[in-house]
Amino acid sequence: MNKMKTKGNLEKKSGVTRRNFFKIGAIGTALGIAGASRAAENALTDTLDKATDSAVLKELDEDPFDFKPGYGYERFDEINTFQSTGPMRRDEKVIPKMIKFIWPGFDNDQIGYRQVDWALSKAGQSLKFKMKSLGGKWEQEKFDFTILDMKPSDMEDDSKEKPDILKILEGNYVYPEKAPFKTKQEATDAIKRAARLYGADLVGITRRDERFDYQAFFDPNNGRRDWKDIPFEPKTVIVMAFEMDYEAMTAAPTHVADGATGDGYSKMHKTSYQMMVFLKCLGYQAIPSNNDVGLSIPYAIKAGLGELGRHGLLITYQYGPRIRLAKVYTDFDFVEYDKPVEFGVQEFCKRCMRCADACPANAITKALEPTYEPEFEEEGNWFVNPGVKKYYNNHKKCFDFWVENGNGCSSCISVCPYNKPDFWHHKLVDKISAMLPGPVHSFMREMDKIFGYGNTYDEEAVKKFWSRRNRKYLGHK
Amino acid sequence: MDIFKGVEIMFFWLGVLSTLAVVLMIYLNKTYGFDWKTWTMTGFGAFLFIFCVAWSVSSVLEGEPQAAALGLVFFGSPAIILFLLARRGIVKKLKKSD
Repeated sequence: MNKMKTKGNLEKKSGVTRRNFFKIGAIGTALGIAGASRAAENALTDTLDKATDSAVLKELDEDPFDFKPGYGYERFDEINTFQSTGPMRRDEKVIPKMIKFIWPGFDNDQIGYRQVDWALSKAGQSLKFKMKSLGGKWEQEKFDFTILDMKPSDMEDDSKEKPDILKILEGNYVYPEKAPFKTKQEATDAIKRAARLYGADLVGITRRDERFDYQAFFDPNNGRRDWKDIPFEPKTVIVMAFEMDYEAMTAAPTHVADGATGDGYSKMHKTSYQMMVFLKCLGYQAIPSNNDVGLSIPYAIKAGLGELGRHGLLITYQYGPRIRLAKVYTDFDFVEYDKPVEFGVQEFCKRCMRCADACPANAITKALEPTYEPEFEEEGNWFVNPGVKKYYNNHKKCFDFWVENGNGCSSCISVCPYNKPDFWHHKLVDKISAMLPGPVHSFMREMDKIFGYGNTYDEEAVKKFWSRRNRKYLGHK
Repeated sequence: MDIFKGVEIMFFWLGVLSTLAVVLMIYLNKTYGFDWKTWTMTGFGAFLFIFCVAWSVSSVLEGEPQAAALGLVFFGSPAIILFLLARRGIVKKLKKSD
């Protein structure tokens, strides 16, 4: 009886007959099918992303760095960075540690530290060492390329100079005619597109800022050098970020995560070298710069690639801290310079502290607010450069753990809530988090943990990395 | 990315699911006559349910099963509660009209 009444009501009230109902269903299905197309997916994710980006991502006109006089900030000397192996010259105690770090072993009974994991790590960074011998020398030696020894038919006379096209391949040669860019935007687009082609995931361009250039250089291959050794006066710095593999990074601090780090270094060296040649072919001077010449992170902040996190790493909008940075110094300045950006990282880092909690060396500060000098007392803080507002971390402790662990750790990158794969729901959470005030950030941090993100020493992450499940690269299988 | 796949298929099914949810809500409204409370509860419930599916499937696709399970708990449970509350309201209304 009730059913009859209901059906009668339906037809009487709305005129929705069974036929009409199916019509609605058919329209609905058509809409559903439309939803299947890539365009609709883009509409749902990319368009929404772009529409909400402006609410979160803000360009800054002012200098994003807060320097305070009286704390003794001065241009940093490269010899004081652990990356440069300079500490070997500063502190003799570091020498045996450095040797142990450079030549770590493996243990086939320990997942993440087996020979296969170790091989992944070593091979990842191998290109870095090859490229460093090319890109690290600002005056290039002649390559041992057969093409340079070839003699075109019009060059039978040895006294004739080689054609320019052959000189370019030597890496030193700057093409005598400058590329005729009509607008700065055209030049900027060309530089950024080339960098993307050569492997950069993010590219920003900024003016050279001497505050962030090393006052003097050091590397074990070339020894001590200074700005006189650079063959021109740089005006512009092109900053590039390279994404590191998410899945490998979840295996931090094992050799598997170090494989991603090493591969990032190799990409840095390859791309920055190619960009140097690109700029020279455009008629301008250029030198590749990876961790040398200047401080990458401040330059990346200036170039609008991201913000500084508690762990002292750059946090990018797209990849979080899961990136490596490289630069190219050039005298080309007919470009549109990028502005620094802000998307709530500084506020989030105040309350999150996941990196500080996860750091196996307790090297990351748990201070609520950034400071102008370190809070820790360490004998001979030559690796610290006070006077700029940031979180000061103990790099000696960090490095000691690298030595103990046999690789570069990366736990702080892995646990950072901004380190997520490229999925729509993480972008959504980041945006909601950026728009809400401080106490919500503590809640977000807890939710990140509860949802299972950012574990370290996770054997399952290593197994998953090596697993053959769900791999597109397996082709038809 | 060479590792994850399936998000396109997920968006297809989300499209189908959204459409079915809208059709179902129209149908139920014509049948029982929703008041504003019922509209709010079913609408928000349907949104949460679809969001729950989207979240959990995405988490599975990115290889984070714990996030998928927690997504079901955090977004799926409120959706079910809202549907039950909406149903209770309709049943009450039908009883009154009888």
